[in-house]
Amino acid sequence: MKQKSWAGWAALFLLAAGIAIFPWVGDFIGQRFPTSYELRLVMRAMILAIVVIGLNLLVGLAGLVSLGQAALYGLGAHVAALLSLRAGFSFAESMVFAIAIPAVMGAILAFPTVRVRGVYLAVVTIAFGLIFVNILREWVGFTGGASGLANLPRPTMFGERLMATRAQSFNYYYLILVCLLIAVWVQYAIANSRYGRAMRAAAQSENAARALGVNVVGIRTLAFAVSAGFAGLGGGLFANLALFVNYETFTFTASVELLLMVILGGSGTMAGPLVGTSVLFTATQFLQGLGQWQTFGYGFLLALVLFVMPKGIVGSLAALRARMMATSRARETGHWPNGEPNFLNNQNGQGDGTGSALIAKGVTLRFGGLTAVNAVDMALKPGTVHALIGPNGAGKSSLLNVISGFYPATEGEVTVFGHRIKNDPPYRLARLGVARSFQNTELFGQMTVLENVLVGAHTHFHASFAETVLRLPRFGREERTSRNDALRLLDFVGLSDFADEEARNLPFGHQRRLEIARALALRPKLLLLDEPAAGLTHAEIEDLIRLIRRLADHGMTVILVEHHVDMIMAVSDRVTVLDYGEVIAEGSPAEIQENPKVIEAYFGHGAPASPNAAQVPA
Amino acid sequence: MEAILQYVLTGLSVGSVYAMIALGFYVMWSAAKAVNFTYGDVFMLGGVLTVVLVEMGLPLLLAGGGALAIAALAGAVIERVFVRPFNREANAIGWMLTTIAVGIMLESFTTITYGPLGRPLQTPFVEQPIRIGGSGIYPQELILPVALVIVTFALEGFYRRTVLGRAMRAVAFNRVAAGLVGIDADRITLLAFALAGAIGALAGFLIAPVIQASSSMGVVVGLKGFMVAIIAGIANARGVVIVGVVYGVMEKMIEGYLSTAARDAIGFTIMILALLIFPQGLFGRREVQKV
Amino acid sequence: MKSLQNPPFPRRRAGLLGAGLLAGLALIGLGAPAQAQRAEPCIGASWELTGPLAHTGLQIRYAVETAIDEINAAGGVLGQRLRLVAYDDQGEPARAVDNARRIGERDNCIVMMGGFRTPNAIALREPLDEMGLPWMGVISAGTQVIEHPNGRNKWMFRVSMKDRWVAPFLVEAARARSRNGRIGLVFEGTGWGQGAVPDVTNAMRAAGLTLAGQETYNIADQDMSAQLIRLREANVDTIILYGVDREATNLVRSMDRLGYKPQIVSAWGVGVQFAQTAGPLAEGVIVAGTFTWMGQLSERAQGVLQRIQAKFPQVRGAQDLLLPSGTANAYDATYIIAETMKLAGRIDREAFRQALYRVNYQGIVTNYTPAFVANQERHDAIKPEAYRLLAFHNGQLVAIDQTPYAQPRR
Repeated sequence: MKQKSWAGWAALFLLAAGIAIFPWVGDFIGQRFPTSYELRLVMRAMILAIVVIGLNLLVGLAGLVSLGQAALYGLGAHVAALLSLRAGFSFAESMVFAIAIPAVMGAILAFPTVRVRGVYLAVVTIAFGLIFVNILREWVGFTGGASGLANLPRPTMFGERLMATRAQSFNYYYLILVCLLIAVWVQYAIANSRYGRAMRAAAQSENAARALGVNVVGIRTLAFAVSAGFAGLGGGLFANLALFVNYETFTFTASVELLLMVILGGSGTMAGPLVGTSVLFTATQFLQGLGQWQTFGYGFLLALVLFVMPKGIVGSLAALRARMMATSRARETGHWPNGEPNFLNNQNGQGDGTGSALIAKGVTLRFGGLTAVNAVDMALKPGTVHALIGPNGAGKSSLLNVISGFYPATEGEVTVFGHRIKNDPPYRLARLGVARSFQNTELFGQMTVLENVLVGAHTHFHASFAETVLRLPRFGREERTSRNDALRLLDFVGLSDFADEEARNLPFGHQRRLEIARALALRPKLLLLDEPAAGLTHAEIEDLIRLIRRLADHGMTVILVEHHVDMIMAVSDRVTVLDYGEVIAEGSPAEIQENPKVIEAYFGHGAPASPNAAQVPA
Repeated sequence: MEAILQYVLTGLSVGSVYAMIALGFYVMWSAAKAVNFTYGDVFMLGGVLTVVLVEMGLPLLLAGGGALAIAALAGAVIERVFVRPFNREANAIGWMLTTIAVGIMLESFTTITYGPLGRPLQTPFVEQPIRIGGSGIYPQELILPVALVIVTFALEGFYRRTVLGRAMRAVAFNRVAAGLVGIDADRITLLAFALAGAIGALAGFLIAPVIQASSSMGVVVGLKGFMVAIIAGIANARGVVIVGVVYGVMEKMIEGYLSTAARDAIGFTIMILALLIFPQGLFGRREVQKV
Repeated sequence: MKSLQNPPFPRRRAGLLGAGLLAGLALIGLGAPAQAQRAEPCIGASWELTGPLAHTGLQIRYAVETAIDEINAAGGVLGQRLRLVAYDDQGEPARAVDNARRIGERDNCIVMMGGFRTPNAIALREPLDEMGLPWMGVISAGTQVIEHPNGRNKWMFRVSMKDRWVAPFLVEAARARSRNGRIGLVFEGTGWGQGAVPDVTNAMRAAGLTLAGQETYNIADQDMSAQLIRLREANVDTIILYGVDREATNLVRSMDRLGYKPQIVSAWGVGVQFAQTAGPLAEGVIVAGTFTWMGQLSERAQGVLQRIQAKFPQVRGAQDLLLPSGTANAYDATYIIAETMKLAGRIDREAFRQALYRVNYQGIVTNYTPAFVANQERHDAIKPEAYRLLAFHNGQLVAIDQTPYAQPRR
C-alpha cells in the first residue's frame, strides 16, 4: 500500500519533470524541436486533462455519468472570453469567474440527481449540452454566434504577458502545467478523504450511504460543482490559449470524447485521466496519416482498447498487477466480539429525560391502499435490546425504515432521544446517533473493508472542504483518529486481517460483521439491526449474541428484527410482536413465548417463518 | 389556420420518426437494460442501404426489405459483439462507449464509401404533395404515422401473443427468473436488438425519400429518439410512441410560434423540466424505493 | 486565483515546480531562435476529410493535385517539386489551428490552404500572423476572413468570393427577378450564414430596399415550413439563400409542400448534388458562383476537366465535381501559388507575400492582373466583375445565359 503510493508520486514527478523540460529538448539534441506545434499539442492535452480529471471525479468517484461536460468546459471558455473582451477583466479575475460560474452551473445541474439517476441523468446532461450549444450559436449579439468570439487580448499576469509559442515565449505553458498539477493534487486530496469516500459510497450503495450520515444530494452537488469547476478552469485556459472561442469546440461530440478519455484511462483511478487524455489526444494526431479513414480508425482504436482493457488502461493494468502480486496468503479471521467496545464512547443511559431512547406514537405507514404499519406505539429504554418479531410481511422492516428516516410516517410521530422526527432524511437521523444494518447487506463492494468502516465515521469529520484539499492539520488529525478507530473496530469484529480487501470479496458471514462494524463507526446511540443473523452459522449467531449484549451493556440501545427465536430469547430485554402491521403483543421474551395471540399469529399463517420458530410454542 | 395544419402534418411525420426510433430504444432497453447508443446509425443504414440496393437495380420494396434484413443483422451483431460483453455488471456503462465506437465506425465507413452528401430515393409518394389549402404534405410522410401505428400494435401483439414475444417480456421483467424457466435470455436479447435494428431501418427507409439518405442523417434523430424514449419512461411502448409524436408536433409549433433558431434549446428545456417533474418518465411506473 | 499562488504541494514537488518555473522564466528572456526564414515547397492544407462535409476537402483536393501535377510536369517551381500535405480539421477551429501550427512549424510549408469554414478561418488569423504563414482560401466567402476588424490583415489571401461583394450581386439578381420587390433572406445557422446577414442587409439598404423577411435554420433541419409560411405571409416572392445542398433540398421540398414557389437566388453553397437530391424542384434555382464545369467550357477548362478525370477515376464527369466554383478557384489558386513562388525567386514566406501583390496569372475563372493588392480589401483575388450567375436547368448547373432564366421573368 505504502509502496504503491510512493511509486505513484514518483511517476507523477517524472511526468511533471518531463513536461517541464520538454520545451528544451531541442537544445540538448540540437534540433528544432519542439516547435510551437508540439508545444501547442502538449498545452491542449494538459488543458483537456484538467477537464478530464474533473469528469473523473464525477464519473469515477460519484458514479454520475455526464454527457454534457463539454458544455461546462465551453461555459468556462466563454465566461473568460466575454469578461476579458467585453468587461476588460484581467486574466486572473476572468479566470476566477471562469471557474466559479461553471461550478455554480454544475451545482444546479446536480439538482436533477435528487430525482433522476443513470440514463435519466445522462439525458439531462445531454440536453443541457445541446441547449448550451444552441444558445451559443444563436445569441449572435452576445456570444458572436457561430463565428464565435475572436481577438481576445493576450493574457497578462504579474505584468508578464503570457505567451504560448516558440517564437515569442511560452510561459503560459508552465502556467497550464501548474494548473494541471493542482488539478491532480485536488483529485488526489478529494479521493483520499471523507468526501471522496462518501462519493464512492453514494455511488455503490445509496441507501447505506444515507444511513451512515452521508448527505447524498449534498455530496453529489459537491462532485458536480468541483467537476464543473475543473471544466471551467480548462475552458478559461483554453480561451486564453486560443484567443478565439466558438461553439464548435464544445459540442456533444466533445462531451463524448471527454467521457471516452475518462473511461479509456480508467474511470476512478488517479492516473487514468492523464493516460486517457494523452492516448486519445495523441491518437487523433497520428491518425491524420489515415486521411479520410481517420475517423474510422479512431472508432476502431476505441473499440479495440475497450475490448482489450475493459476497465481502461490504468484500471486494467492495476488489476493485472494485483493479480500478479496476489499472494495466496490466507487471511486470518479473528474472534468476535474481540474485547470491549469501550472506545465507542457511549454515554450511558442518555435519553430525553423520560428515560426513553425512542418513542413511537401511533405510527402508521401506508403505500397507496396498503397499510404496512398500523398505529404502532413503542417505547424503548436506553441500553436495552428490543426485538421486533412477527411473520413475514408483518411490517417489521417498514417500521425500521420509518425509524431510520427512509420512509416518512404517514401518521403518528417518532421521537429519538427527545428529537421529534418529521421528515428528517436518514442522514440527519444518523447524525442524531441512529445507525442501521440492512436485511440484504448493503456494503460498498468496491471499497476496501477499512474504507467501508471509514464511511461509517463520516459524520465525525469536521475538517472543511478547503481544509481537506489543502491538507491542513485538522484534516490529518481527524483522518488519523478515524483510521485508528476503524482499525480497532475491525479488530473488535475480527476482521483486522481483511482491512485492505475489497468488501465484495468477503465471505457472507464476514460481510455481516463488516456491516455491523461500519454501523458502529457512527458511534450510534441507537442501533437498528435488520435480520443480522440471516445466513449465519450457528456459531456465528452465538458470537453475534455476545456482541449485541456487550453493546447494550455499554449503554447502546438496540432494535433487533429477527426470526431466530433462540437468539431473541437470549439477547432481548423486550419483544414487540407485529402482525399485519399492528402490535399484537409486547413484553419480556418469556411473556411473549406464552402469549396465545403470538402462537396463533405464527401458526395461523401456515409454515413457521424459520426453522427455529418452531420452538416458539414450546 | 393553414399554418397550424401544416405544423400538425409535418410534426406528425417528424414525430413518427422520433417515435419509431424511441420504440427501437424501448425494445433494446427492455431486453438488455442497455441500448445501442448510436442507434441513429442503424436508422441511417435503413435509408442508405435502400438507396445503394436500388442503384444496384433492385426494385424499391425488395431493396427496402434487404436494407431491413441487413440492419437487423447489424443490430444482432452489435448486441453480441459490442453490448453483451460490456453489460455484465449492473449499472455498467461500457456498452455506451463500445456502441459509440461502433457508431463512429459505421458512420465514417458510410461517409467514405457512399459519400458524405445525401442521395435521393425516388418513390411514387414524393412526386406530388397532397395540398390542403395553403398547406401540403407528401403521401410518403403520411405513410409514417400509419406505419408507426401498425408497428406499435404489431409489437404489442408480438409481445402478447407469440412465444418469442412472451419470452422477451419475461426477460424484460426478470432476467434471472426467465433463465430459471428455461428461456435463453442471451438469445432473446440478441433477437430484441435485431428487431430494434429492423424497426430503426424501417424508419430510415420510410423517411429517406423525403429527406434524402445520407451518412449523417441518423445523428440528431438518434439522439432525439433516445431522449424521447427516456422522457416517456422507457418501459412503456405506447408512452414512448405518444411522446415521440407529441415531441415532433411540439417542435413544429415552437418553430412556428416561438423560434426556429432556438427550437432545440426550448424543446430540450421542456424535456428537462418534464424529467424533473416525472423522474421516471411521463409514462414510467414510479418505483417504490426499496430499502 | 488564490489557489494558483499557493499551490498546496508537498515540498518535493513544489521544489520541482519552482525549478521548472524559474527555468522557464529565466530562459524566456533568451528567447527562442528566430523563426526559420526558408520554407519548404509545399502547400499545407487543412480541410474536412471526414464528417458530413468531407466532400469539401476531397473535392478541392482533386483540383489542387491536378494543378500540382501539371506544374511539376512543367518543371516544378525553382527547380523543386511542389508538394501537398493535407490534414483533416473536421470543421473544428481548434483542430484547424493545430493543423496550422503543424503546417507552419513542423512541415514548414510556404503556404497554407484551408480551414474553410468561416469560424476556422477566423480562428487562424492570430496564429498565422504570429507565424508569418501565408494563407490561401478557395471556397469560404465570409467577409471577416479577409477583412479583419483591426484592418491589418497581412497574411490571409483568398481566391474565392467575398460575401460583402456577393451580397450586392445577389441583391441585384433578386431585385431584377422580384415582381413585388419583396425579398427575403434565409441563412443557415453557421458562421458563414450568420456572417452574411450584415452584408445582405447593407446591400439591400444600398439598393434602396429592405428585407421583407429574415429566417434561419439549423444544420440538418429537415423541414422549413415554419420559415416559409412566415415568408409567404410577408409576401416574399424572391429568397436570397445562404445554405448548402442538403438543407437547400429540404427547403425546396418544403416549398413544394406548401405550394409556395418564390425564386431562389443562392450564394455559392449550393452545389451540383442539389440537382440530384432535389430532382425537378432544382429547376430554376439561381446560384452565384465563379465557375461551372457544366455547359460550354473553354478549351483550357475542358483540358483541366479531362486531366482531373484521368487522375481521379471516381470523377466520371462534371457532375462529380460537386463544388464547381470551389474546385475551379482551387485550381487557379494553386497556379497562383506556384507563379508567386517563381516570382519571389526563393522559397521564403515574406518574399512570397510580397510577390503575391505583383503576380499576374491567366486563370480558368478569371484573369488575375495582379492577383492581389496590398490592402486587405483586395486580398480577395476574384473581383466582383468575375462573379457570374449560374442556374439549375435540366439537372445541370450551367451559366445562366445558357438557360431560360437569363432574363428576369417579369
